[in-house]
Amino acid sequence: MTDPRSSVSFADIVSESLAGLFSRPGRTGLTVLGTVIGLAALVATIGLSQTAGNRIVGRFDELAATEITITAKPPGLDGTSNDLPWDASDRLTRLNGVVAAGTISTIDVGDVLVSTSPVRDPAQRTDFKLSIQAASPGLFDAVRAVVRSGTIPDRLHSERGEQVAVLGAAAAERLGINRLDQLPAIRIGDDLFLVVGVLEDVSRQFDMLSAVIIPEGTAQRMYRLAAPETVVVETRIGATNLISQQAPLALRPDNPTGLRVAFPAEPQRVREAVQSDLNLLFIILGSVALLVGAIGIANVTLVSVMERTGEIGLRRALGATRRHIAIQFLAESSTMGFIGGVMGGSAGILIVVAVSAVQSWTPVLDVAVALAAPAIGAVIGFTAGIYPSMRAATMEPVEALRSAV
Amino acid sequence: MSGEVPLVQLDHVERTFGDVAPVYALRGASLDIGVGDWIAIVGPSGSGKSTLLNILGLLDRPTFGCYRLAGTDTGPLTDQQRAGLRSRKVGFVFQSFHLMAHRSVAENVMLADVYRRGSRVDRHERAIEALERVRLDHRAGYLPPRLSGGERQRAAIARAILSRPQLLLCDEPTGNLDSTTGAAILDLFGEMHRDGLTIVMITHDPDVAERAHRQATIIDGTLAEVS
Repeated sequence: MTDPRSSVSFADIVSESLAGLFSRPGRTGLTVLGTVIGLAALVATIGLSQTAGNRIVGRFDELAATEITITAKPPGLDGTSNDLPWDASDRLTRLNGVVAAGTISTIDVGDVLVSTSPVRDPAQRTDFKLSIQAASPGLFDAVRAVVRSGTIPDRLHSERGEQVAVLGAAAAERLGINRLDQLPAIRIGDDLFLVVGVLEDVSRQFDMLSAVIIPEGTAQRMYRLAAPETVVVETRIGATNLISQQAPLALRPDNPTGLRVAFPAEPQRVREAVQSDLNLLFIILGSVALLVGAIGIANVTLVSVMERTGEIGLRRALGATRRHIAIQFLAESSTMGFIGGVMGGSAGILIVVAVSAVQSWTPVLDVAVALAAPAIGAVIGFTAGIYPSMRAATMEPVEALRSAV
Repeated sequence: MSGEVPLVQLDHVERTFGDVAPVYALRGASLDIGVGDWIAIVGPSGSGKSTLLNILGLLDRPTFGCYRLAGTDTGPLTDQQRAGLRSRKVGFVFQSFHLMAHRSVAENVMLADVYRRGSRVDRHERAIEALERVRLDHRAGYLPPRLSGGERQRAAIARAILSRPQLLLCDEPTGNLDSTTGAAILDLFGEMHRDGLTIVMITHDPDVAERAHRQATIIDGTLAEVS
């Protein structure tokens, strides 16, 4: 007949490990510090990157989020034309989700200069190399053009091919045109154009500000513009993805793949991308700190095993098995990691809140991250305690008792 | 020897160390110790006393021979079974006390109950009872470094008897004490012996051995009963 096997209750394991830890509070505190720093860095990092991501979305340019530009790809090898249609604006404004659409093309006028006077003044330069652009009437709404003075060419100007022009703010300044009440005119080469408006600002297609803009119909008639070059579309917020899929079919149902659609990434994707970059960087830093913390726990636990050889021998004499000894030291190292996790997680949250308060940001932190910190700490402590625990468990009780004398 | 079935039965036990040129720590030791015996094992340093005590306490295994404790052949037992048997049947008193310095006297005593899964509810009460038995209950809340040598050994004895073992193994229990204090500790063993506890005490001091009812000598691993 044999006696029942030696056993120990869970409550005793917990109380013994806590007693073991708090018998040397100073050392335990310093050991835990490594894990605290590591997990505080990790939680603060993730929290700050989430907060920063939220800020990025808050500041994300609403204009960029509602802009689509469509251009034609070069013709295929079989000579298939990918040109945009002349009525591109009309086709797109019929789509639900499109706020405004217009076409814009750069006119190749060779070396022709733009001037305000037919007379060349040798003392002062009067002719300039300026970009000539052709725009459909809808373009000015699509780029949210702000008119400083005058007006913008309408559909009638374009259909009649009238020789009128709108100057960007920078172009008007170079040409010295400040007022329109005297009906100023400019010359593009030898062609005379009446300046009907000056733009103060645009929200898109910023090169318009330094260009001379003429109606598309005029460009078609005078400069043999074969097809619009670019379509600029303003959509409602959140509709860019859908419109970018529908627009090629609306413009070229016969050859939708011949068009190139450019639209900005969704805010969510931008946030994820930014967070991903930040997280990767700081998680690496946090992991290094945690590794150092784990090494610290392993080191101190190993030293503790060596110092407590007599205690190990005594426990074996009192009936502890090798397993009980291993469990005790694993419980101690895991508890150290857990405590470090609780403190580190708390410190990380405080850092996120403090930084956000100073910057007047709204702190954002996934609750799961804060709650995971103690678990991560416990796992690190457990892992760090495996080797020292094995060392403790494999000690022969006789040797352990003898060495402690 | 009293009692029909010996509590301890050593039958030609040998213990050697090393494989190539084995060194004998015990040579064919045979000994029966009945329930309620108090036996002193005397021998010089290196004679094999501690090896014998370790085997009796199930901390070590014989290389050859048979050791029965309370009728159980300990040879085939697993380490876990031996640990269970040890926690229930055997109490240890060491020369160097082996008290945990950062725990109170009562907590040190209660430690003996952890690995036999004794009830946590009345553990403290039973520790105080054990301390009363060694007349140290007034020091229950003290830390060991504040105790005298004799008090420390009393605390160690209280820990050893908490689980009401059948066999008390004492390794030079008065070795670190002055003669007066040592005599008081031996008086305490005498009281326990009268209460029916079986005591095996190893010592190199013949005067200490005189207090036991039986004596055996061990020289170069050979055990022989003297009286």
